Amino acid sequence: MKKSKALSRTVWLAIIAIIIILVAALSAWYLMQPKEEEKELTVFSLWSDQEEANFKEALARFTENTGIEVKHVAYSTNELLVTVPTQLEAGEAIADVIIAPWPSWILDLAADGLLADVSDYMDTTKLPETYLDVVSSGDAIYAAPFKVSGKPGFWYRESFFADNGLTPPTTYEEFKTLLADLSEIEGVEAAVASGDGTGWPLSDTTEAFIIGLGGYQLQENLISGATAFTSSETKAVFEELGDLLQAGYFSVPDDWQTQLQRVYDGTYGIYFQGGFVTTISPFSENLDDIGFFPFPETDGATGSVDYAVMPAATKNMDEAQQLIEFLAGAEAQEIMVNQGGFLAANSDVPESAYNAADLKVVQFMQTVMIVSDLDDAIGNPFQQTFWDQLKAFWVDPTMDLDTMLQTLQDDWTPPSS
Amino acid sequence: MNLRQTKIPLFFLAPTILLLTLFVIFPVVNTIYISFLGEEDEFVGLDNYAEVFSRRNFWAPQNLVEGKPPPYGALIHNGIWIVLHLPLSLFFGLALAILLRDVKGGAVIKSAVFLGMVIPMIVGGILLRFVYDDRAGILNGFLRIVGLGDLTRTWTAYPQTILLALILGTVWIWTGFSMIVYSAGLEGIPKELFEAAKIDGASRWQTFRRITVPMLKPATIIVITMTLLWELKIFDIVWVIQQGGPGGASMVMALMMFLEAFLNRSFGTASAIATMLTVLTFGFAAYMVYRMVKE
Amino acid sequence: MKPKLPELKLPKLKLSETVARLRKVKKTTILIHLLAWGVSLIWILPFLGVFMASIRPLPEILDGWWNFDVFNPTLRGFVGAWNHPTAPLNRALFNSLIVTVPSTFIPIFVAALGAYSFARFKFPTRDLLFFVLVLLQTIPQQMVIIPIFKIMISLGLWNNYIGLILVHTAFALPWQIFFLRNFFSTLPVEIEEAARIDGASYLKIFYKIVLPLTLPALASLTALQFVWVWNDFFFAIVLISSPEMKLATQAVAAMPGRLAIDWTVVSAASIMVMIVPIIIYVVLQRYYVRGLVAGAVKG
Repeated sequence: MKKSKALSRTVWLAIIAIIIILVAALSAWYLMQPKEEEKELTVFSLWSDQEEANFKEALARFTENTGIEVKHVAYSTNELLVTVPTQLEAGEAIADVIIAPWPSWILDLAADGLLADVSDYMDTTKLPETYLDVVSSGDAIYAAPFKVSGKPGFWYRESFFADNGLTPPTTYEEFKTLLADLSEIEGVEAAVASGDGTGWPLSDTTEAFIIGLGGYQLQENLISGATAFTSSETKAVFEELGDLLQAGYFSVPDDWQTQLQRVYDGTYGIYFQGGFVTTISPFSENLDDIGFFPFPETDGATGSVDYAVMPAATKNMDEAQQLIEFLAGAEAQEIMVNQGGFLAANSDVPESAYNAADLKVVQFMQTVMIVSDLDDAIGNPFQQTFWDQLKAFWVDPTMDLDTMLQTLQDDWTPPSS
Repeated sequence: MNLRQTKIPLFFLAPTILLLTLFVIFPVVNTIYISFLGEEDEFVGLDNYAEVFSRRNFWAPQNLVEGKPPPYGALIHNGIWIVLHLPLSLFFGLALAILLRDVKGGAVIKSAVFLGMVIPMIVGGILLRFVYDDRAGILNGFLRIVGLGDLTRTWTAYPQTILLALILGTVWIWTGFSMIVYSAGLEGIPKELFEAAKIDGASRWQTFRRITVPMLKPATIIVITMTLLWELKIFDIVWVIQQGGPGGASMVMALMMFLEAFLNRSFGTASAIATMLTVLTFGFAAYMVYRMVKE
Repeated sequence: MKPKLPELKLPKLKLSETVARLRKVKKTTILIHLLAWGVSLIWILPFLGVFMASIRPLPEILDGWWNFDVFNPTLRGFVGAWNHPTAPLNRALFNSLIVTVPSTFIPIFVAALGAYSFARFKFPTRDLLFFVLVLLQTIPQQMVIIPIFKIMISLGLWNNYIGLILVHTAFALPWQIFFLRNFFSTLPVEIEEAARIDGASYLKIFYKIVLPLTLPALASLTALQFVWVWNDFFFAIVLISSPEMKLATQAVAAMPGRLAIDWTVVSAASIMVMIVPIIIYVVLQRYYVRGLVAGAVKG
């Protein structure tokens, strides 16, 4: 091995040459790329794949009507949660409109003047008051409700139930019997499928129990802080849920989408999920064979609303306002409803626009109190903690409830309003 | 050429001083300052620090004391990382350095082991996630082959196992560093010492203890210090796998600081965490810094 | 023409002794070699796995990439990662290069000048400044990020590569100056003094005499800094935000964040992002290692 101190000149020059060539080549390639049309508006949302394709339909209509081009960028939950505050804090609005389902996150940003008041760009008589209240502060409304998602209940395959002589339960006792019956069926690994993701499918299921066993008022009290997580009524709900988990009625959490297939296959019997599953295969192709039953005797259901917000610092104020107005209106929302798996916030959208399965959901949602999603309403740091604790609870239901409930209580903060 | 000059060297040093002051020195001082401020930029003393310590996400030794599985809080997690990762990667690195000294193709093997140090830690995290995956991961594949199929699971999905899984995974990544440093250290030991020891009839173990280890002291200081610093600053791996979850079981200080600053936009508490992190860093690096300055 | 080899005179040994010696030597060496290669195989396994995963369809990966009964290699992973809908690597890799190359070469010039001052001149506050420099090497990124974030915003350099490059440059200076100053101390002063007597300016001496001799050290700095900047994630996520400006590490971090992990695409992306620093390491290995272990051998 050469022990000389000086690196061989040739090798050194070769390396520099390689780097220069690389950079030059890439620059040339880059400059030769067809320049992407300058989109006038940029929209961020959590929607990808099918949901994104559906959303782009509505955006296309907007462009038709106004001639304004819109670019859409999909983000994952964690990314969006961090990216947007960072951008707004930096004073730059890279997105002109952001679609997000977190009312407290919205209000938190609005409190620091980072979001624009959009009350002038929507017809508030056509939009549910409860949805507007959670994103309002004083006279200002900071978000336009666009999409309503309902979490109506436990989904199942109707022919599977028929073949096994099962019927949807109407009381809680019948529900527990159903769980036991499902577990007995050959081929069924667990009565209830558990979804995985950042944690939200488990929180949806848990909230169904809170509302179902404790009433919608309990959920609202937990959100507002009127009732503590460590209270006996809350603990009772978790104890009941824990018993069912320990009885093995729930599957191991796995990718929430895969679980849909497994429910359809008969590996799992029922699955608590939002109404949007009607847009996802295999449910979407078999809308006549799927149905849901609400948590027996429940008086409420969580609905979450996807809101459109506008940064105060957006560079395209006029165009962004037009987009907000469009999204809050019936025309945009009807387009979305027609594609399935979408409940409109705007009451001007006709019932005939919905498909069979969605119509059942819409009609159900009209019979119960719509409550905010627990963790979306309280916000961070509670939301992260809630999701994380539930993930742990699902895989270890014997964990100490007092500790868990205390952890949740510790991270509760009053929802900003 | 020890010339007494002022203008020339300061001219040479001007860009350095400018950049360092603006982007390093001032920010450090500023962060400490911010850590004492509250929501409305009012002075709140040590409130931010107290508040951070009161969070279960940061400091929750109860579980640990009772022998339960994580989460124990970010501070403790970093501590466990140090306690497990440091001795393991140091030992493996030294062992490999010695083992590969006279092996044919040793250089190639060393490069292979070192690869983990050269890749982005985001990719490192993805690799670990892959290895630990329930179906696609080699760990579970191996367990199934040796008949322990019941134990298989996605090891990073559970609070009980994620911390340990990540720590061991980072041993795989970081051993290359201690190996390379020790290799260089070993090469620097004059052969005469070993020969003299042989002539004196010293056993292998005695040679190791009396000659190798002391001669490797500078290398050991570097390995220990750099490893400690790296363990305190773990971020990318934890972010890409579970963002600190599940149940906060993989939360670490660097990540917590980031979420405080850029998710919750709470700069005061974030700065408090950063300052505590830096105090620890300084503390651990003090000895090495002292030695570096001695010359 | 081959010279005739002299006749070797072997010491006379008993056959059994020879065999015994051979047996003993061979066993330990073989064991060591086996162990060594075994270790390297284990260490390489995850990389092998991710490579396999990048060229095989997802169902095959989920059954275990080490099973080869079904083997249908595909380029879908690489194409998918290259054209990813939200984090396309075709853009991201290029972006990383735009940031990494200047961040590698600019600090070298600045650090070289600075290190030379410390090595060759005596001036007031010299030792104090150097001490501060050594201390600064230990500062974690988290300690400076909030003020840097604010500074960049006020300079209009947030979400701008220039800002990121400046930060990387500043961060490189402490350890690079330390390293180079030590290197300069090993260079004989006489040549420079002779040039000085001949009337050359300090700048000229620096560029014409000192710098060429420093090339190996600069190679070390280049290798280490390039890999560090390319691999950085923390500064990038805070300072670069536009979707089309994202760096390679940000892009690949965004991929598994979604629903189910599409291992084929994620593995391919991982390979595309890590191959660059690996190549740099392989090409400049000697210098990379030298830079890394500087100080491990007291001398």
